[in-house]
Amino acid sequence: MSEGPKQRVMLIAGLILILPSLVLTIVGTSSDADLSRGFARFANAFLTTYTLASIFLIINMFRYSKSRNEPKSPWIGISYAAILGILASVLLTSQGGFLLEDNSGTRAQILTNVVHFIVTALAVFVAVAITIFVAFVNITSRNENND
Amino acid sequence: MQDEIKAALLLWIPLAIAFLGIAMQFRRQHSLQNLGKGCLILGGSIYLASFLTVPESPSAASSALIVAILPALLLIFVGLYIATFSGDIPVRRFNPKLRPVGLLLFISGFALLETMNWSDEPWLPSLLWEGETNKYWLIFRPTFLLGMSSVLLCGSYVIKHMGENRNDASRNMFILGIFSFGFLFLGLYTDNAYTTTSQFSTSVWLATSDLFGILAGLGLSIIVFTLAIWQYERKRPGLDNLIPPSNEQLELAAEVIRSNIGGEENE
Repeated sequence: MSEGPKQRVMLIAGLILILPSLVLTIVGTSSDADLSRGFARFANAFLTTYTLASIFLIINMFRYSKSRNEPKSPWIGISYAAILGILASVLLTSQGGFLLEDNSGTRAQILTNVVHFIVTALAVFVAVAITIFVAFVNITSRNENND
Repeated sequence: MQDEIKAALLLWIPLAIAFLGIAMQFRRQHSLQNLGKGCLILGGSIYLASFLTVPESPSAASSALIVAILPALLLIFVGLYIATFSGDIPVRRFNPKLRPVGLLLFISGFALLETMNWSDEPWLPSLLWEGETNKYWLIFRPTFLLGMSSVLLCGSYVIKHMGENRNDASRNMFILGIFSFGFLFLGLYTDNAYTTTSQFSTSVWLATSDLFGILAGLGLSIIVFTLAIWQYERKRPGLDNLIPPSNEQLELAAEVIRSNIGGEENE
């Protein structure tokens, strides 16, 4: 497949990926769901994922610095990540204590976020793993049927 | 205070050890990888037992949920593993006759997961925690179904357009994607054993917020580190401007290539 149609396929695939969420959002706003906690959940998920992914990438930056002989690169990466992280945190928390959800304090909220992230990540991991396996099962079954 | 120390020792520190074990899997040394596996098993087991050892900690509900859904997940993955590796592939590990058994196990696992939600029969693993619906079930199920329908529908489209003669595979993935999306819709309009439609609508909304938050956080951290790396990479000379390698460097490269080439002599 040439580059142009490939990009178009990937763009449509990206839209299909968020389509179920968009449909449910539209349905959700017309139902009796409690929508007020949505932004706090988004902000907490954003900050938790940003922090955990940044820690993982910082570790990889140390390996990059060794392989490319660039000793300052991890510190530059850490600085960028920290500046942007602080900016995002200030932006999200500047409107009061809404990020606390059902918890009484910051520490309890951080711990809740970590466990919440584990459960969400497990759900996403299981969904993606099932998709990959289902794709392989169908492709290998096609080969068998053709024989 | 006593409870907090107990929770730290029996839940949070084991969880940290399990994460450390996962991180060690990315190291090249086999000894560290093996140590990591040990850490993962030890930390993971103590964490999974935390709903028995520290039931007073609210976070222990997550381990209770994971243990409750473990049988269904095992059935799903064992089934898919058997179905995949009994197919027509060079690394076939099972007799092709076992393929229907694998598919049956997968369907049983999925059915068990859904039956747990729709029925509170005593023989099923319980989704209750301290007399109420486990709050992590209200996070797991909508995220799982939403993630599965999104990824399956997207995969169905990609597989159809990125390969040849993939219509059957694409159609089956599309049907399964619609099926899981249907379960989400059903929950929005029908009460089940553990949640009302209102509760489920809220948890679907929160799961959507969660997934968008995760995508945004992951995307931003990748952009930040890409920028940091790009800053160094753009200063490097292009391949055409590099000075030719010295004899010593060529010998080193030849040695690396020699040590990585394997296979039969006559190939």
